[in-house]
Amino acid sequence: MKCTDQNIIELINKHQESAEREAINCMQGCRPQAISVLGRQGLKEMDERVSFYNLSVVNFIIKVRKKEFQLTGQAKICTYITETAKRKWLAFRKKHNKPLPKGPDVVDPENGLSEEVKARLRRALDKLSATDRDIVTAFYFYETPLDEYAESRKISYDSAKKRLSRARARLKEIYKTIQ
Amino acid sequence: MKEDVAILERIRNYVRGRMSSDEQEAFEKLLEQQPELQEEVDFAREMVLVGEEAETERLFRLVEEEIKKNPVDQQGRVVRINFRRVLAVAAAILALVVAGYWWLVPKESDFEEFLTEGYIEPDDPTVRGETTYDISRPYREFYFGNYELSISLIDKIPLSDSMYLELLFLKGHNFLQLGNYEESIKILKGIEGLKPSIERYDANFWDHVGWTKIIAYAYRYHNSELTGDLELLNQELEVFINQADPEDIYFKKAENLKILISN
Repeated sequence: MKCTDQNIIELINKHQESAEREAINCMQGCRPQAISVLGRQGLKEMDERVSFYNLSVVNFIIKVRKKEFQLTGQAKICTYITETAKRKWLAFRKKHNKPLPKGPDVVDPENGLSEEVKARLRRALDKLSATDRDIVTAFYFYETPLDEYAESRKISYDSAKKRLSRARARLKEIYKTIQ
Repeated sequence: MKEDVAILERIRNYVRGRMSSDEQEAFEKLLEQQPELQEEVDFAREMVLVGEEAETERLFRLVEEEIKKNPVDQQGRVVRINFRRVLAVAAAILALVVAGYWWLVPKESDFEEFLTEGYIEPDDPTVRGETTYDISRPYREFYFGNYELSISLIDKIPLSDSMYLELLFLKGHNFLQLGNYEESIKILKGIEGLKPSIERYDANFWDHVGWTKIIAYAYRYHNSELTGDLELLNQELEVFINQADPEDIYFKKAENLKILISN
C-alpha cells in the first residue's frame, strides 16, 4: 500500500497492531524533516529529537482516532507532525527549569487520584487480554460509540456489548487482586 | 448493577465534561436518586485518566520498535541512536504529562491546535512536473526544514524567472517557519500588492497567500499576546473573509479562526 496521507489515516483507523505498524512506517518519511526542524529550534541531541518526533506521531495517531484531525486538500501529515514536534519542544523548553514532581504517592489536585491507585489500575490494564484492553480503551479513552466499534471490528452490536461487559468485569476483578 | 451501555456512556460523558449544564444537572439529580452509580462514576474517572496514559505509552513503544528497525537520517545514513536515552527522555516527558503537571509540558491550547492544523504549506511544483532543478531545490530544502538554506537558494534565482512569484511565496513560508513573522507578513503583503497587475494566477493561489498571511498574524499574536496584534489579526480576518470565495477551504478556516479568537 502506498504511503499517501489518505492511506495512513485508513491504516490508523483499522485498529489493528499490524496496520498501526504500517502507518508508523509510512510516517517515518516525516522523520528527517521533523528532526531537522527540531535541530534548528535548538534541540541538539539526536536522541531527544527522536523522542519528540515519536511523541508527535503518537499524538497524531490519537488525534485521528478521536476524529480530531481532518485531512484537507493541501494539508500534509508530515507538516502536522513536524509542527507538533516543534511546538511540544518549544513548550517543554520554556518550562524546563521547573523541578520534576517528587514522591510516589502524590495526590493529583485536579482529580483526587493518587499515584498508587493509578499504578494499580495500569497494572490491571496490562494484565487484560488484547481484545479486552482494546474495547475498554476504545470506550473510555477514544469514546468510540459502541455501534461504530462493532462495525470497525466486524462484530455485532450485541457482541460488542457483551465484550465491554466482560472486559469491565475482568478488569475490576484483576484490580482487586493487585497489591 | 446490570450493565446498561446507555448509562455507562452517560457516566463517561459526565466524567469527561461533555455534558451541557442542563444535562449535568439532570445527571447529578440521578446520582442523588441512585447513589450506587457513584462507584461507576469513580471507576470511569480512573479509566479515563489511566486509559490515556496506557494508550500513549503503548503507541510510543510501538513507534520506538519500528524506528529501531530503521534508524536512518535524511541522507539515508544509519544514525546511531541511544535508545536508552530516548526512553529516558520520553519517560521524563510522559511522567510529567501523566502526573498532571501540565505546566511543565502544557497541552496545546485550542488556538495552538488550530494554527498547527490550519497551516497549509505551499504546493510542490515538482509534482506538476514543470520545473527545473534550480526551482525544485528551494522547495526540497523547505520540506526538509532547512528554511534558511531554502531562502538563500531563492535569493539566487533571477526576478525574471516565470515562477518567481511562487518562489517569493515559498520565501514567505520559510520565514513563517523560522518564526520571523514580521518578514513573512511583509513578503506576503508584497505578493498581494502585485495582484492587480498579474493575471496568470487563479483565486485559489491568492486565497492561499492571504490565508498564510493570516496565519503569520495569528502566530505573531500568539507569541506576543499584545492587544494591538490581536486587533490587526481581527482586521486582516475581516478583510479576508469579505474577499475570499465562500466555497473554498480558506474561507471556512478563516471563519473558524474568527470564532476561536472571539471566545
